[in-house]
Amino acid sequence: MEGVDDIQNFIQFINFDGVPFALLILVVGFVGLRVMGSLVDDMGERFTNWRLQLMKGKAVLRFSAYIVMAVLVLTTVLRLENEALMAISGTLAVAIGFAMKDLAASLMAGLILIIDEPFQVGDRIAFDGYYGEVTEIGLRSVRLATLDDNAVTVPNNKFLTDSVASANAGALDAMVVVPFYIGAAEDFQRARRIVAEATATSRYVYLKKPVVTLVTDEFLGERFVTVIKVKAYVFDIRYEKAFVTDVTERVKLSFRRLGIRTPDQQYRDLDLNAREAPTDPV
Amino acid sequence: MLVGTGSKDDDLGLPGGEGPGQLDLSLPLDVADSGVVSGGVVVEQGEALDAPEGAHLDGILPGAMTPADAGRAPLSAVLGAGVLGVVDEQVSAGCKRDQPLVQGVAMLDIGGEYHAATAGADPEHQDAVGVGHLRALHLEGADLERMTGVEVEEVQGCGECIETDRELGWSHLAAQAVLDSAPAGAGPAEGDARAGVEERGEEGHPLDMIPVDMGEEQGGLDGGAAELLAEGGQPGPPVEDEPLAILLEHHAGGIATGSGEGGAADGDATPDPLESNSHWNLLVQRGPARRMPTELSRLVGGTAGGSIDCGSVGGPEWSAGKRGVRAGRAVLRTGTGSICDNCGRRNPIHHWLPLLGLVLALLGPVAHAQQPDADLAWATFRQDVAVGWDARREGADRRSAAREALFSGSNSFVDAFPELVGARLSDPAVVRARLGALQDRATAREAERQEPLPPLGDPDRLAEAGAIREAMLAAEDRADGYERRLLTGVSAYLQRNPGLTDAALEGLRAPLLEVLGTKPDSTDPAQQAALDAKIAAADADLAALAQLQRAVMLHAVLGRPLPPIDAELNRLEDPVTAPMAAERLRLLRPWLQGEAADRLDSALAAYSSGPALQRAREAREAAAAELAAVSQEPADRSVDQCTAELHREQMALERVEARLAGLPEGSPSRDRVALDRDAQVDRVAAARIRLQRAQGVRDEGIDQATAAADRARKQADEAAASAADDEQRAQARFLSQGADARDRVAEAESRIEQRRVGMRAREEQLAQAESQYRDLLSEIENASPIPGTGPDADGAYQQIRSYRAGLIDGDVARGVGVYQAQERVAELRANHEQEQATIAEGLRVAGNPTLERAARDWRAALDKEMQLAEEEVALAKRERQAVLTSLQAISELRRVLRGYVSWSEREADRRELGSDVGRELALLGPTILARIANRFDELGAVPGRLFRDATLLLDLMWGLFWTIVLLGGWSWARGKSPEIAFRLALQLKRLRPEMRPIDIQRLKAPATDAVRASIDLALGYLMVGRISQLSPEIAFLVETWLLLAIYRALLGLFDLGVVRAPEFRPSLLALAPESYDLLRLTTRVFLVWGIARGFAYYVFWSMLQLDTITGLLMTLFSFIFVGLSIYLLYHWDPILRVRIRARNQESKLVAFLSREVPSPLRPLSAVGLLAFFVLTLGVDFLYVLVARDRTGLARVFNVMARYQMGADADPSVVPIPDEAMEKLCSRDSKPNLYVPRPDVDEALTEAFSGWKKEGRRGMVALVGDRGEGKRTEIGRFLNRCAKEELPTERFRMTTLVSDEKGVLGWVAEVTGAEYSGDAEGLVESLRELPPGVFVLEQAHRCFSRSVGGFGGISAFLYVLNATSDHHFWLVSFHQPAWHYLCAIPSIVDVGVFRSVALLNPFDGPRTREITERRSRYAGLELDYRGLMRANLLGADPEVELERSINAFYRLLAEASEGNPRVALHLFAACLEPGERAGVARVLTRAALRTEVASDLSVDALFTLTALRQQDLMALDDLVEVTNLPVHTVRNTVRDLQSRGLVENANSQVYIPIQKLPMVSRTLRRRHLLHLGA
Repeated sequence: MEGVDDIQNFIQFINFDGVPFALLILVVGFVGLRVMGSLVDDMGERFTNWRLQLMKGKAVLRFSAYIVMAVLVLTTVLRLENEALMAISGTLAVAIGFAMKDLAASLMAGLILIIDEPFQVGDRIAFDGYYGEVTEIGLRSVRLATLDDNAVTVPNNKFLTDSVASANAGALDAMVVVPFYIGAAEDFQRARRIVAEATATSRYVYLKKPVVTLVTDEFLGERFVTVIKVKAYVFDIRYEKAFVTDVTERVKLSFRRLGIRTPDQQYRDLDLNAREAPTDPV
Repeated sequence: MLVGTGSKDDDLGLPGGEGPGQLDLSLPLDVADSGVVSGGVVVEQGEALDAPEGAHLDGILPGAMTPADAGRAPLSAVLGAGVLGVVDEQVSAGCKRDQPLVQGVAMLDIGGEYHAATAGADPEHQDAVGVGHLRALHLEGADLERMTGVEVEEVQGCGECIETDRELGWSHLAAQAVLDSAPAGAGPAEGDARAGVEERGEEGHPLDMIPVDMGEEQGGLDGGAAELLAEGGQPGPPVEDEPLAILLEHHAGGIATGSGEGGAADGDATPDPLESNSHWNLLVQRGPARRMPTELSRLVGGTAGGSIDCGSVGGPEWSAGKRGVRAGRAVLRTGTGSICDNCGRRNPIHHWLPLLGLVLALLGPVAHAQQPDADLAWATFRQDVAVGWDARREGADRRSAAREALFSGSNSFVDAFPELVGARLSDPAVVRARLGALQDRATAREAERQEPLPPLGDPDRLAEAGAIREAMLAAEDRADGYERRLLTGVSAYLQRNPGLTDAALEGLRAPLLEVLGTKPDSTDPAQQAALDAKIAAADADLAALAQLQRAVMLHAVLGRPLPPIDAELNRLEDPVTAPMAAERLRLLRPWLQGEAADRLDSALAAYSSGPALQRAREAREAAAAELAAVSQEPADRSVDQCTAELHREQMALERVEARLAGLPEGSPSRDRVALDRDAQVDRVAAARIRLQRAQGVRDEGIDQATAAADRARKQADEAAASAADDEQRAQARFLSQGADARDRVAEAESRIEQRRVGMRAREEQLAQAESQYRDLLSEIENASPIPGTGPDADGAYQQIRSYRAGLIDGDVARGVGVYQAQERVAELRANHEQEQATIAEGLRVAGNPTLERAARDWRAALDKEMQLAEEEVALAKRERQAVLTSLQAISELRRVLRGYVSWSEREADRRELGSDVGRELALLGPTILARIANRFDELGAVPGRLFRDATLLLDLMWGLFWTIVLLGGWSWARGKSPEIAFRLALQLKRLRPEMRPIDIQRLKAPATDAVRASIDLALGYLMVGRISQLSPEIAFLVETWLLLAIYRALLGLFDLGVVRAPEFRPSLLALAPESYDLLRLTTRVFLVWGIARGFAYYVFWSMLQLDTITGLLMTLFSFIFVGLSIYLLYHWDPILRVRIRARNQESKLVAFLSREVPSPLRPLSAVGLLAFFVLTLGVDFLYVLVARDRTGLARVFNVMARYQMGADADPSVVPIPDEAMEKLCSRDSKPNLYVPRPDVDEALTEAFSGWKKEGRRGMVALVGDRGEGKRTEIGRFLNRCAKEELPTERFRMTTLVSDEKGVLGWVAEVTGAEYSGDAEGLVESLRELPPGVFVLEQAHRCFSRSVGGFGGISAFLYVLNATSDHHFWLVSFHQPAWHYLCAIPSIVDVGVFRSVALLNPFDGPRTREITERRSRYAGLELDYRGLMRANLLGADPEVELERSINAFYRLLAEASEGNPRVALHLFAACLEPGERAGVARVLTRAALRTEVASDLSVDALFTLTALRQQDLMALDDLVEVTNLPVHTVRNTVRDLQSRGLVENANSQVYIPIQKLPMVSRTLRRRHLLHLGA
């Protein structure tokens, strides 16, 4: 009976006259958001330099629009006078509160994400084993588009407790690391210059930030190999993989042209030489 | 609140020790009566007891209870559960077997019947923590709520327990097992409990933890409680027989005493240390060191023995032996092992316990317990104990019956609660103390209940003894329950009504006496007797009132019939008794409800709004008169009397203020109570003055004057008595007159002293009132905007208004006191003249020394009297000044507060407008006169003060110095104003180079005026501060003059910024004559209005503080403003309409705005026009002021300018002749076409000079985009070299060559050196050549953006660097390629160049210069008139034309990105043939748009990037650079060609010069071109 009373009390606080207007608000709001979203996306494509800022603005605007809509709808539909607030703070309110606490937590987490900005829309982030571009920061969840074109949805509150890595952290450019393996006996200096040139001449490279090449020797598969690692920035995070491909392609072509062998090739050649070498008759 | 209930069944009552385990939960103690809890048996330090509530009044939870204690209890299961379940911070309360676990055990025992079926605590462990005192709740929740106003909730279910920290928890399962196995009855349960403990385990917490809790150290008893408590708890001596020991101990610092076992066996030792350890149980008898031994225990001389364990579990063990024996036995048992029996752990303390135990056993009395004879014990019990128990039971039954009868309405309060008759039940502290005492008694009873019965032998005897005891205790429980119920209800009422204090009741005595018309201190015995009789009657009346109040209280609390209050209501009809009756009835009001309350309210309301209000006014006036006359009263009261009076008046003031604060909004009593409050404030002030006087705050002059007067009088009397003849009689008369003068001096001294005291009191009162209202205002300002949550602004406003009216109406503010004092001075002066004549006459007649001495004294007295009279005048003035100052402050507060009050209060203000104005006007004359008089006095005193007061002289000199300095500065600056204006104009020319000298000349006059007026203002306000210190009158004149200076300054700024159209000079606005005249008139009108308003405000408010009149004037000025606006709009309307219509006739909005309207509506029409006008004017203003080249905001305004110009442009395109076009855009570089680049010239000259003269490296990079002018600069450089007669060579790389051999071969070829494929050889060969200047153009074609494409440029730079000291190398680079090379220093090091000459983009003026030079070269005369826009205000055409030209070139520079060749092409596209030959009209064309290429594919963007970077590329090179497939590159190039973005010539692809800006913008926007291109 208590629950029935609560429901009856709750119904008293609904302003049914305001329901059509609330629906109108919702319809207009969602349509407006959709139009705004497509407009911002289009602007982002046209003004690449401003794409991330536009996406961020879009996220903030949408978040704000959701909150404003919610407030408008609630104030339109509900009679939230003091008595109503007092009355609604009964069992039903508690029940609703408990039922929606996760949603409320995600909502608050979303606000924190918007304010704290551990990442923003357009960033490429790694979280919980997923790596992809943030396509949306919503009221409840963050959506990622992985490189395999999977849409991953993560509740907002997860980001408050777990670590998240952002590749570009709000910038359009991002660092990309590409390793190259050559035989330990190859001309690594030449190879390093090739790698550097291949990176610097790539059409995707962002040369306002430095290009760094590192040379190390490692054991790999019981073989001693030389690793040339290049660290460079791609001018747009969207071209991350294209950049890697372009640099790799140029480097491999040049290696092939100049006879710089990979570890496998080098060891295979060494094996062949050993096999072909004349045995000592003794 | 959550209140757990136990069972109502006594048998099933929850057990729990009567220990101090009270928990003061959130419910205040005086309401909830401290629920008793059986929880928190073992708590960790700082868990439960660190809560403030945990150490509240009653010192609850003083220690931790050991499981032994729990197990010993009859209901050990409960405690065991507590023990077992609460080893962690979640301390659970125990539950009883077969019972629902007690959910919350904090309960109210208000139900009268106190079924203390509680057990379980060892009497020796009464102070064990958490041994709760559980009482069955016999009062229904509803009843409880009714009485206390506290929500009561019964909790169902089991398993949940309220923790000591008031959290819900679940009882321990192991505890449940213990519950299941525990015996139901009382008695030792050691074994079971211990077993239970041993079986516990899932918590995993050790029991050897130290159960220590820290209470709140500062927890103190209230004063009221302290009244009932004989002594405070002190550590040290035994308190064995003190019934309140437990309470005190609990309160003694709130220290937990562990299980209370910290005493020696005989209880003589000091209490436990602050932190006890349960293992101390091994050392000492768990005896009642500070417990309350019961009668029985004393009788039999026994107490409980402790078990041998670590304190975990244990049970009571009766021993009739002596305590020492028990101690020894206990220790002996303790010494049986060093391993704890219970916890099984080896504690370090165990290592020495056996030895210590053995020693104690040997030392202790060996005579061990001989068992007493059973019959003897029974007989003793019957004769000594049972009789007492029966007597106690009978007494308790009698009390219960009386109280029950009272509750049912058939008995009197005195009979039912005789011990409460004298108690001040209206004091919350007393009620709390009584409740605490009840709690103590209950605790004692519970302890007594748990005492083991003596060894009577026969079980039947034991049962009988137990029944007797239980009956006795139950009866006492029941009797105390009635009292608890009463007190809890009273406490709840008192909490809700804090004003219901006995102090309030006592405060009635004084007004009662006053009503009786008596004063308590009389010297006449008969009168004293009569007064005593009246006082006795009054006290009797008060006693009757107290009785009535108590009866009403019982009605409220217990539901007793309401006593008749008609008699009290009738007293309101009697004017004599009405005030007192009203006070009494207000005290009764909180206890009443329903109809009685309504009757009382209506009666009080009628009283308050009727005669009471009049009486309050009279009382207010009387109090004011009393305060004014207090200084005239004889100071014949003692200090004690005055202190008592002051205390009484202060109490009355507090009471009336509390009443005022408690009155609801709109209450009819508010006005009356406010008057009462004001009257009471005066009474307090008067009482304070009396006290000060009584305390001997007398000036020594009074005593001296009095003594002198006495001596003179005595001398005169003696002379009169001894006078023998007329002469002697005349002398005696002379002496008598002198004595009269001395008397007058003494009287004046006294009067002045009283006046001083009164003055101080007055100032204090004023300051207090001001501070109070200021605080009130601050509260209102900072209050929450939620209605009803902040202070009442309306009420505060009413108070301030009333107070202010009182101040204005008072005699002091009007200067009556000053006038009287001055009259007295004048009168004295006249009298003194007569007396001086008398003195002179007397001396002439007499001439003896006595008379001469008397005459000197007389004259001195006259001087002193005059001095005192003048001091009185000064005091009166000071008091008046204080009142006026306070009045000003109060008026300011009122003015601020007016913004917060409701409409009704403003209405009230308006209703009283006339009277307020009358008051202020009445005050105005005296105020002005007083000020003038004061000022004259001050000025007259200045010369004298100058000699006495060095500070004044210093200040004066300092002020004069600064005034002279400022005046000098002011004069100098005014003289310099033309020069300052000229310099400002020069600065303006730097910003606006297009200004001509004639412009500066024309700016001179208005700029000078504006500067002069600004100087007047700046220095004038600095002077005002200094001058006001010297002479406020001059400062006022200066202020007035400054207001006029403001007018002149603003009008000067207007004249500077706005110009009439026929005149031509730089200005912000150039207006048509009619617009100019009207705008100037408007400005002048509003300036005059504003200044007049400011002047009125300054005079009437800042100077005269006429609040209401100032408000009226401001309202009048508002009406004037509206009228002036209408007048001006009427005149503006036609002009605005014409101007706006000329703006855009086709616009519907303009047509709507500019339509003709009837004359009466012209002002309204003008409003719309004005809004549109101001909007457009603002845009124009920002456009002129803010838009600059290459700023972000400029882009915005450029967009607007494009839009505006585009609207005026003719869409049809008629190009100029091809010949002219070709010549305009040709690459000719004749000297007269050259636009200087000083920076480039300087860089090249410096590098060349250094190479030639000092042999420094000659290697310069000339960097610029295509069309930026690299060739021109190189040509000019070579021309300079030619003068040096140095060999110069100039070559250009035409194709992309990236390999080393190709590049070096080319170098060898152009220089004539030999090259054999070796760079070093080429270097040597170059060194063999004679020194020369080599210019290598387009060096960016020496590399390819591909792997291996940088060898050529690296070798090229190497060779150049190696020979740069021999040859001078000038190398030109394409700017994007240069930036790219700069970004890859690890591959190509362009840092080898000694200097870099960068060709910067052209700005608007340079673009204009190059285009105009080229136009002249092409034979074109430019006609810019097509650019000019129609100005809304009818501005000067030349000015507008100049502005339009500047805007055009700014747009051109932006569209061309500062590239001159691009600008020329775009400019050519903006020309069309003029009206005659050789004239070209400049128009805004689409060429000026800053477009971007849209819909380009990513491959196209990459291709354009490559082309933009290296300027010119073949298809193969493009394929290599972009790393795209060949077919993709071809398709892309073809697509771009079709779009016009690239062109192909000789298999070389390039971007046409006109498209360079668009391509650059596109690539930058897509983030592809990010290296400064």
